[in-house]
Amino acid sequence: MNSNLKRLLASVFQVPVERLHSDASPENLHEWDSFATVNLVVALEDTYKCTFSIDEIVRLQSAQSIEQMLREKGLLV
Amino acid sequence: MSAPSAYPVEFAYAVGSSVYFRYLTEADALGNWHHWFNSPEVTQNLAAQYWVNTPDAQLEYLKELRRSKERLALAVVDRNTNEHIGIGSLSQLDMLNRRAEMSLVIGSAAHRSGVHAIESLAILTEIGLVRLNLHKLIATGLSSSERGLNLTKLLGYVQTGCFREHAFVGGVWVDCVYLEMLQREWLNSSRRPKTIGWNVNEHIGG
Repeated sequence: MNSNLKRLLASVFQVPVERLHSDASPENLHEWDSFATVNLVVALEDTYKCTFSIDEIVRLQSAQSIEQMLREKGLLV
Repeated sequence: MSAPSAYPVEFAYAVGSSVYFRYLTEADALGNWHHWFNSPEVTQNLAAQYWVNTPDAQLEYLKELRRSKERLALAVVDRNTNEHIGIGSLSQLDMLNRRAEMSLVIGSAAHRSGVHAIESLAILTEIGLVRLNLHKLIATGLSSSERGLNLTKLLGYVQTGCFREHAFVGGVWVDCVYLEMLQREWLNSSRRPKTIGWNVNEHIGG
């Protein structure tokens, strides 16, 4: 996983970076609740200067899918 | 866990990618629905916390709902499992001034991670401001319900007011926050979902 994205996700979920794996999701990361989902969207939009539609937000279901979407949008190389 | 829905997804009122909305049934009233409104976890930020709910009361409410033209309440269902996970409603429907009050309760604790709630709020907003052609939707929430308020604001609802010390929750007075979305704001919103399916003169694919 991209190291900057990993640090951002660790900061949003308030967990050590080492706990953040690409398969992290609401199912296996207790800290990923609705509150964190809102903070996640706000943090991603602030950092990558973009706006996610609801269709895109619904797809943000794992660290891997977040990275994939940022790459698809050309925001991560 | 509730029994699988008697309504297949192709008969749903509206279909998103993670949830769909369908009409409420007697099976819903006798299932999880009435339990949610006895659960402190669900009702802590609702006026419903003060009253006992029963299957009979829920069935009675369903009967009233079916007669009402001032309230549209729908079951929120997990699209993957067909589990009934919550209730979305537009109440105080005023077709003269084209406005309504929106509310969403996700009763299933396993579905509160955000995605289902966010998409459900978006679908409810789309139902109100597009399918029903309302001019404005209003959402209210207690200041103690930070999660719900943040989800609603994420969608683009704007805080326009506040009733001070409006409810007595957990031994303290809390404010009630007033949020609004106008139809033109939603139609121009970059948040607005593009993939909602409607059960209107078309077959909605699975």
